[in-house]
Amino acid sequence: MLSKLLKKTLKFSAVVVLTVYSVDFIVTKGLRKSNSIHYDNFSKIFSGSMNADLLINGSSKGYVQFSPKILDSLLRTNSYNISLDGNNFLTQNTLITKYLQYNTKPQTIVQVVSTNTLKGFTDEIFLYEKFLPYFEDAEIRNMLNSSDKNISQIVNYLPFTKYNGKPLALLEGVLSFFNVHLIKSPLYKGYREDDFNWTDENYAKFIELNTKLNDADEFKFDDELLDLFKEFIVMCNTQNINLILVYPPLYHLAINNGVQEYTNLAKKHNIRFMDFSHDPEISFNKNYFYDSQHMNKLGSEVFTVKLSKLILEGQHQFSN
Amino acid sequence: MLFNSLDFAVFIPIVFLLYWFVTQKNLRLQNTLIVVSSYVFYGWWDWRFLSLIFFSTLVDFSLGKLLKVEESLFKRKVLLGSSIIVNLGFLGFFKYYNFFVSNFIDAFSLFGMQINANSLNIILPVGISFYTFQTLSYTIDIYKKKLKPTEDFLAFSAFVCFFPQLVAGPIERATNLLPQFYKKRIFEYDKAVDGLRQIVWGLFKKVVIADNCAEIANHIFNNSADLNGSSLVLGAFFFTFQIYGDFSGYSDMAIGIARLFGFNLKQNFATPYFSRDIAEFWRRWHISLSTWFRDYLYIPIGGSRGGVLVKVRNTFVIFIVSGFWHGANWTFIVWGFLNALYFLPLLLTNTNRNSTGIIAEGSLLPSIRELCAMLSTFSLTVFAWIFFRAENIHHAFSYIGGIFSDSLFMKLDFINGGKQKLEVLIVSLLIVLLIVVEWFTRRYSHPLEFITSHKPNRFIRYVIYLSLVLMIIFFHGSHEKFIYFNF
Repeated sequence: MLSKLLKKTLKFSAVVVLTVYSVDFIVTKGLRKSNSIHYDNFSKIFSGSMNADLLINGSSKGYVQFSPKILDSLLRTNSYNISLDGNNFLTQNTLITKYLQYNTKPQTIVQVVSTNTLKGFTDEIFLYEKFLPYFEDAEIRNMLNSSDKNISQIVNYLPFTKYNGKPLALLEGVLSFFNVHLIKSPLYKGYREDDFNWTDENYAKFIELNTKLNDADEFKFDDELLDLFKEFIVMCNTQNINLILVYPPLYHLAINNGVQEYTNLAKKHNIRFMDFSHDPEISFNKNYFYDSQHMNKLGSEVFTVKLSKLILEGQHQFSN
Repeated sequence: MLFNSLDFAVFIPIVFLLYWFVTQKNLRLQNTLIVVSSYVFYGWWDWRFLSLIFFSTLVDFSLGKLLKVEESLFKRKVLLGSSIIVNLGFLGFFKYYNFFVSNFIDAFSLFGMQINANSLNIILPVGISFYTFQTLSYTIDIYKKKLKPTEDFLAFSAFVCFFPQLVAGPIERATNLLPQFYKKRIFEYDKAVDGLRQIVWGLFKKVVIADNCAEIANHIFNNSADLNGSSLVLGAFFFTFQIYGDFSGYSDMAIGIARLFGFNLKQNFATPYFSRDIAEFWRRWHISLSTWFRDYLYIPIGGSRGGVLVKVRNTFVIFIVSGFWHGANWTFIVWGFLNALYFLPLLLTNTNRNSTGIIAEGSLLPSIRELCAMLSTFSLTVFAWIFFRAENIHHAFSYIGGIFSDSLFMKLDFINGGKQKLEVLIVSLLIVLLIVVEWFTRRYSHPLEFITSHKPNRFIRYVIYLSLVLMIIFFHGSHEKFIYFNF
């Protein structure tokens, strides 16, 4: 009787493993060709079909503030925005490494920098499931393992369990596998237009919070991320990629931490650093922002035009 | 070690195989294995507190033996008092010390007196509220001469630390569980299979229902000040299913695991959210604790004997103490008080035992009257859970204030974007699935028990098992620890 139970349990476990393995195969294949908002950029990068001349890399500050449409038309180039919402340089670096592995080298990389670019994670990687279809890649795996909040340890031993607890990714992967693409990415070349304004209520909250902040609070980059960033700069120099660091506009009352550090880095490595953080034409106009850290569509367009012209004219600002 | 952890997934097959293949011929060996594996199970969390369990075991075993031979009523009372002091002393120190200290300081400061008493950095030993109650019932039953004390220290140790129910119940009585350690366990295929089914169902309730509800409920409760009334109502609703899935899921797993080892534990939940009144709810929710308080507190202080005032007093005592048992926070006391208030009309009209059978027995659906009764009881319960979940009394009242504001009927504002909307929809559908399944299987001790009685063909059985297991694998929420581990 006991052996009967064990045999039946083993048989059932085998069916479960086989089913989970098959689901993993289907979902991975599906997500790798998905063109939805979360997976579109990744599909293009890993299939080697992006091949941009100018690449914008950053966090949400890149994602919602750099319009490739404007850059393409003013600079007569083929640009693409691969910025990752809510991510710091650890993930940004991994993505650009993968970009260079699968695509032709860009002439220029605009690296968006800000307060949080080189700050360590306090929590899981935001929307880390974007990386799951490429879990077999060692660099991706290492990055996901950088925080134990991203994936459970069991995934390292049983990679086919990586979508466990991600029902939406599963659904999308299965549909995409059968070429059913329900929601195509609304982004234009990776750029999200946030066409809304800063509400009075949220503005008041910002003002209240901002008065409590202490300018004298010590600001410090994460050492490991800083090293990674330096390696990235060296890599760009070695590969003759024109690297431009851009600190996009913040609302003028927001603290622009890191400007001096980026200035020093740029000087040391002889690269361009364009500091718009407290830009007199943009930062003082509340209508250009939807919060203190991000410009809306209107502000982003004004900014991208300004940036394009400066790049075109070969002008740049070095912070003093 | 959590039931839903990788550690336990390795631990349980090892213990199971050793139990049935290595130690099955020798009762003492089997009991030794249970004690050792239970200590490993508990020590995995914090080995230092094993001494506490061992001491509690030793004290109650010795006191039980002394109670057997002692004839003097006074000395028997002293022995019983010693057991109560030791067990409740541990509980009081680890669980309530800081609560009393801070409340004394607050109380004296009201009169302008400053007291210098330091709170201590005390770690609450997991499951202390459960195993102390279990050992207490042993000595009380011996004192009342309802139970003969055991001479077998090993069996008694196994009874105290039996790992399936050690840290979160069901709180077993010595009269039920202890004799099972005296008899050699023989492997019963049907019992083990039913145990496995109950484990799967419990795991489903925990990781699919509770953990997914927890993500939404936590978000809403943690940001309640910024959310509108409709979102807050939904937060309370999701917490209602979180706590049910979490605790009843744990109980199902505990009972199922015990069955794998040949033991029968008592049912701890019986579809409580289908209750027609609050009295029925308390006969169906955390049954082992409710009956414990009934037998060892309510009845000894007079129960329903005596006048109306005595009955009311006793009802409030039992509910408030029960609330306080859950945690050293005023929120739990108010939660208990609120439930006593709910109970009061039933008590005063002597209708608290009107709903004892299965609801809508023999019918597919409830009558309108039954449905209204269920929904009103459910609503009262949801409201009370707000106190249970809130961080403190101020949070609870501001949460309730937020609900009963102008924004009660506004569009939900905790959802940001389509992804979150879809997630909420999926969790809601899973809750509907839980309700439907539990409704149609409400006469069973757990839903998958219907397989034992109806014996559907193998294909249907496989589809049911596979669907549940795949939902557990793919739809599980964030790994939340069990809520009742805190109690």
